[in-house]
Amino acid sequence: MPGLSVENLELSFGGIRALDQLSFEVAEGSLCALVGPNGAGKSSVFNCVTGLYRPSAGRVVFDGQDLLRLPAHAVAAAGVARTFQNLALFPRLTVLENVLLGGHLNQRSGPLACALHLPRHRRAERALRAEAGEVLELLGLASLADHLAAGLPYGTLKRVELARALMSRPRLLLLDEPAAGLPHGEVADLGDLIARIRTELGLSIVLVEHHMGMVMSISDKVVVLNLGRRICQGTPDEVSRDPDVIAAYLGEAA
Amino acid sequence: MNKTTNRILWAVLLGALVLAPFFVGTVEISAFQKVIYLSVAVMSLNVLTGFNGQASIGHSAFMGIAAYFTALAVQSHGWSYWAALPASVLVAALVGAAAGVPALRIRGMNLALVTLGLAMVFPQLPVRFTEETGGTQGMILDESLGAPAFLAVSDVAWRYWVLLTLAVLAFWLVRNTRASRLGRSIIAIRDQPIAAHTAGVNVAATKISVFAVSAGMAGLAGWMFTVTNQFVSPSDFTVLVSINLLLGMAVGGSGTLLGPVIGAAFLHYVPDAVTATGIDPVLTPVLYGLVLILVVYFLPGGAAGGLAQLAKRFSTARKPSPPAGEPARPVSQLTSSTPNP
Repeated sequence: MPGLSVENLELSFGGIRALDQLSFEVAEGSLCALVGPNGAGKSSVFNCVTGLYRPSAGRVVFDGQDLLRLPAHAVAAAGVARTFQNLALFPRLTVLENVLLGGHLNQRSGPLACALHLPRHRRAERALRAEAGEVLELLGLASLADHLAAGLPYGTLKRVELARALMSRPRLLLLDEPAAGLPHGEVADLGDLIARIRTELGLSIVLVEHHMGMVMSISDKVVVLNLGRRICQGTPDEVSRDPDVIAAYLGEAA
Repeated sequence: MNKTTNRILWAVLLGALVLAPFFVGTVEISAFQKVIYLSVAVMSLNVLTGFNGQASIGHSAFMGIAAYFTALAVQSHGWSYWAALPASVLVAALVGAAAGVPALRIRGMNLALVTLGLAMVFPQLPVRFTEETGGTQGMILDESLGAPAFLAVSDVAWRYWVLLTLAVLAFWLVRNTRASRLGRSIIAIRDQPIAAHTAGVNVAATKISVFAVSAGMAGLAGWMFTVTNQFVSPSDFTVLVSINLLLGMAVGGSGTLLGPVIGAAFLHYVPDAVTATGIDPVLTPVLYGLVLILVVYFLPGGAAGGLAQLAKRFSTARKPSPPAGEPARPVSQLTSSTPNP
């Protein structure tokens, strides 16, 4: 029984087919990498799954529920969290507040409880802050909690986004190029962290990443896209030997 | 500035304001009342624009709707001011909710133009219904909001305390909301609506609710206007009032709690000060423009933002600085307004 199943997804922008009959499955609790050259449609898949793009055909089933029928804000409630390729943080909130926002759905105080500062709401807020503290600690961001997100280095902001995504206690985590812009030495650390998050929190992860070393070392399964189509899938070993992949992605065989 | 000093400062300020009627004259207290309702009006705009990022030039209309509602209810239908208070706030909020619907589709300058329409139309309404409202002449209310007899205080002081209490209550609600999940989601929508969606914030419902609450708060300011002046006229709620509120918000500091108070004091006292120096009051708008340019250039956070920075400079030696090594990115690169295909 798969955690996430993407079935025959079709998406076009004008005359350009961004996704063409795309299907793949991510087993529950596994880490699936989505790779392919720029413009292959990797981020488009994420945007379809999270309800930001509306594909013209296909289904995205997670936990027996078709995510495409949900409005964008309800996808989070279904247990899906993501990070963005080009960062989508709230620059004028602090790092802590950015992460707390990830827990938006885990603390359900109503508007009145918020405005009146009711004890019930205060307890819930304290609990949420404690949880956010732990997530910040896990990602080595604790010392920056009260710093505004604006002006922090790119690699740090990538981690803040990851923290925000984790804060929603997702069961499916979509990571869009988490290692982009990281200095070379930190890529391996990030790979370890992602693998650890997967096993410790027991969630399914879909990873879009160009660092092939990281992809090959931590993924259970690799799906290769080119021009919106799946050209190959399999274990990292299988994929790296596939002639189509070598031609489309890695260039001519070395 | 730490939490305790912050609290002490607010308590001292509040104490001084509560005791003011015992130390200053009626003229000053009347002026304070104006500053109070202007503070609430600027705060109402601040909630919508400063925190939620939705522009409005229509807040004069929301104020006017509640002010006229109160005036008509009290003068023509024999309501008490107290009965008119929740009703007028509710009416303004409902009109605000309706005005918030187009805001789901349009934003920025275009939204400002839609709300501008509201502000242009509103002053025409009392003229259209001149028989009921006195038209351009305005309408004087015979009854005033008097102090209860057992309290042996002057009516002016009583009205001042009523306004102060309601304003403090409104600011307290805004402060609580700002610090809660609701406040975070309101700011998140302003900064990065796509990420707000993805985190599970219902952006459409939140935006309309904020519009309604903001308009209701402007309505509270409108009720306060009628209580203070016992008089309403179309010229009190022209589009110029909306623009002044925007100016007050920018000068005081948008997205802050103290900003609207500073902005309101600016709006009330600066024109008087200009007249006192012997400059032709016709030139006041020019001065406003000049101040606005200076603020935008030198104090982008407004007066409140400037004060906060100053306070920080005195107390931040211990604050950690961001890790060095990588270049800091400007805010513009920090946000991707569209998801990347």
